[in-house]
Amino acid sequence: MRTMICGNSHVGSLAKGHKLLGLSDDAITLFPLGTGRKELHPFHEVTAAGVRFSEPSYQANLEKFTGRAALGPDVRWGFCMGSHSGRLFRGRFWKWAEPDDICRPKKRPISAEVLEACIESDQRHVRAFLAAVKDAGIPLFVIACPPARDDNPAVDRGLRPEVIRHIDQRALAAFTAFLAENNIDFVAFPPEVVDRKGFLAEKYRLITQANGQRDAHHGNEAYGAVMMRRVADYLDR
Amino acid sequence: MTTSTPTNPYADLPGRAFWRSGVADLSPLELADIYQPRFPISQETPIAAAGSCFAQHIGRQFKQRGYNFLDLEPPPAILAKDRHAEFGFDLYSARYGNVYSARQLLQLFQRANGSFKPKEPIWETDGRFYDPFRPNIQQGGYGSEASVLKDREFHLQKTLELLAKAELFVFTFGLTESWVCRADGAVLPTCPGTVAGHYDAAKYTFHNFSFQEVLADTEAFIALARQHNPQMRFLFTVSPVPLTATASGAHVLAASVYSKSVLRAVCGTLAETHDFVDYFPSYELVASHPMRAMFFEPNLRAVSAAGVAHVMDVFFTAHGAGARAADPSGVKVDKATEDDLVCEEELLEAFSS
Repeated sequence: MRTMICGNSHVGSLAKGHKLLGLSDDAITLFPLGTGRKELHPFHEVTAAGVRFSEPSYQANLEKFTGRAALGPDVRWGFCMGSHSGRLFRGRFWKWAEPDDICRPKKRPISAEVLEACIESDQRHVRAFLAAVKDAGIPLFVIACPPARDDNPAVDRGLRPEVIRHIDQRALAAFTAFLAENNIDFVAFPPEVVDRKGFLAEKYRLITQANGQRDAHHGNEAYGAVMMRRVADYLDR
Repeated sequence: MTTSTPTNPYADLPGRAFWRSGVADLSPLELADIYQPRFPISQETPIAAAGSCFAQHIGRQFKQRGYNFLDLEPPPAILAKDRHAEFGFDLYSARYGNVYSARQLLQLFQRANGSFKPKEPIWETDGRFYDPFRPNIQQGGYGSEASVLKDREFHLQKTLELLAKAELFVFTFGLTESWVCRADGAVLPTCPGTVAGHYDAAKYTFHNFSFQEVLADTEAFIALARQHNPQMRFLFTVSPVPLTATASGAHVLAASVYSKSVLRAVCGTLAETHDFVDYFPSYELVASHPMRAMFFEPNLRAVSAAGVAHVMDVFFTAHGAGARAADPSGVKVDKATEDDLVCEEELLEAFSS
């Protein structure tokens, strides 16, 4: 069965890794859906033809890269989305607030339950999409986005790296729990890509984007290669 | 030249002073001059609000109409709006939840300034932990007692800050009936054993506040608030929502009338006494008999969206802010929003049988 892998901007490193490994394009097609910002709103719909994207940019890319109008059960779909936490910790809110179990004096303590609700708010439309694909009987799996990085500009603005790590790990745990409850396979990142502090290791970080801008969010082609090797192993099973 | 002298004190009074021209000959929707503001409230005035669940409408409307409504414990930006009420966000100016009685209001700020330290411990129910003074602030409770205490400490600090930052404090009186800790008189917003906690007659007692008590408590709150901000003004109103249940022994209708009458009388007395206190007749605009109960839902308790809109239109029109049409964002009191109102009293119904 052919595999199509798509998702947010983290698909970029997967595509580079795919190329680096010299894997065949015959078996696996990789393409971007679009920016992860669109995941904050409902972005799919279920139609008689299958699951399609109600977000126009995602649907346009689906059609452009696959020639298909909808996701169907004749293809195994890999989605790289849902496990990235950047939207959760980037806001100014966390400059003054911290999760209550690591909260320092004079900061606003945020309970685990409020944080869980934030995570659910952030992931809800991805979860709804994946559940709809699953319900439609379409074969699918999810590929991990890279762990958070402690060189994020938010750190320069006063956000403690420990807060980033805490939020990132809680978000990943909540997302994988959702996947497990829904019997959706997950290709996790291996321990080797995580440094001793719990962030994406330096050797796997994308430093500069193609347009020359600093990148503090994505994995590089080495990260993509590690993940695509794991995807290949998963597909071989 | 002759000067006309009124034949009696009523002769020169405006139409609003007479029942026929002020009420009977008018549509209930035309009683606009029922409220004449005592002082202006501009969109720049920093406003704090607290009260029973009807007060949530007031805070929401101030925000929607672009007023400077203070919220010192705002939600994280990423938290979906449909989850705000679950955590007591976006309801009032801080996360104190519903404040039903004047004593509860006073004690809230006494706890915030450290002058009252209740003995009531954190409640534990089925392995979850609750703040007895706002048991519904995080539905389902907290994972640990330490988490409750950290959140409470921050919350009380922000509550106290309100008094320094606000220039207008809006309080909606809800009830006179309360549950009180026998140990030190601490007033609880809900009866233990309803939202959380365990009822123990040896620890808690019912109390129905009298006119004198409500007046004294509100005067004490005013004094406390003006210690922090001598310019603080107050807008009081009475919730038109009747009691869900009474523990007074009286019929619930009679008990409701008692509660509302006491609260209305206190508001009137305070407005007569202080030139920095205004009274807005929410209760009259919804629950008085000329309204023919048309602003209530079929259960004759919940106020309909139309009723809320009407009340708030009267208020904002009197303040020159216009009715809803003047608000570019509109005042959407949709069904989902109404359902979001947090009203612990509703939970009493679950325990009524």
